[in-house]
Amino acid sequence: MAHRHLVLAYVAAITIHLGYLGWMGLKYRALRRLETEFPAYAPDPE
Amino acid sequence: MKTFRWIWLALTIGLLGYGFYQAMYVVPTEATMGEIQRIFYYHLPSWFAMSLFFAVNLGASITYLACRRTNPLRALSADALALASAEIGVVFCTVGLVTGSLWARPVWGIWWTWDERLTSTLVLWLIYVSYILLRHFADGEQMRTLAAVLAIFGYIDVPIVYFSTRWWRTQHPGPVIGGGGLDPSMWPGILWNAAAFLAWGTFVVGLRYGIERRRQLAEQRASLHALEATLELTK
Repeated sequence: MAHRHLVLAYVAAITIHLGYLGWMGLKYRALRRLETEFPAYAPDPE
Repeated sequence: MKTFRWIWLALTIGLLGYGFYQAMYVVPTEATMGEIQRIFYYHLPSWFAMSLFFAVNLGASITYLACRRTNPLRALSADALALASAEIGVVFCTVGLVTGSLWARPVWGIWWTWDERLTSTLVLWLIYVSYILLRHFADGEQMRTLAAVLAIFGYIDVPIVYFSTRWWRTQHPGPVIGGGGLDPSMWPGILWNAAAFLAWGTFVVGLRYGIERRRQLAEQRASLHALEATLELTK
């Protein structure tokens, strides 16, 4: 049981971190959508 | 900036790999618990990283409250940093809770016990999850102020978690830092993994901070757009 729990702990740690990265990816996608809708003002050409 | 980020990522991956090698192959097997004790080399560094990022969150929240009237740009940057550090802090806290539970089952014979250390840690996790939920479901200056105040009150639980094993008799063993009792051969496994976790956390905070800053700017443009549309209507 000890070995199984050791492996499980490592897998869980990696999964939690990857899950957070995935969630951050969703945030980034939402940001890209917002930036497309409201793009940054381009400077006036002189 | 992008080059620096890639170098940092490469360094982090190297540290994570070396930390894993230290924890799995270099550090000797603990005499009473055996192999399962190696969870410790991920469990403890997760708490290091969590404490550090919650401290960053505290500092950024205080900065936000101090600057929100006098220097709104700095306040918004501090707010983005507060959010990024709180999120990664919760991630490390979750890892600490899960690995702790998986370690407790074969060693204590239980997944969980309501002792002071575990309960105060769960309360800490709930406080920062509520902080993130508040930020997720509300917006505007009021939300930012409320979140900063919540972060300051929430941080009070961090020293309570640390000192809980000294103040009360707990199932959880005493503190490693400042408590002694740890064999010197175990330190490389802890320190390399702590360095790796901090490097990883800093990398992720950098990414998240960048996303949040860009979101703040896009939100400002959206507000300006709405204002311009209203002015057009009133003409």
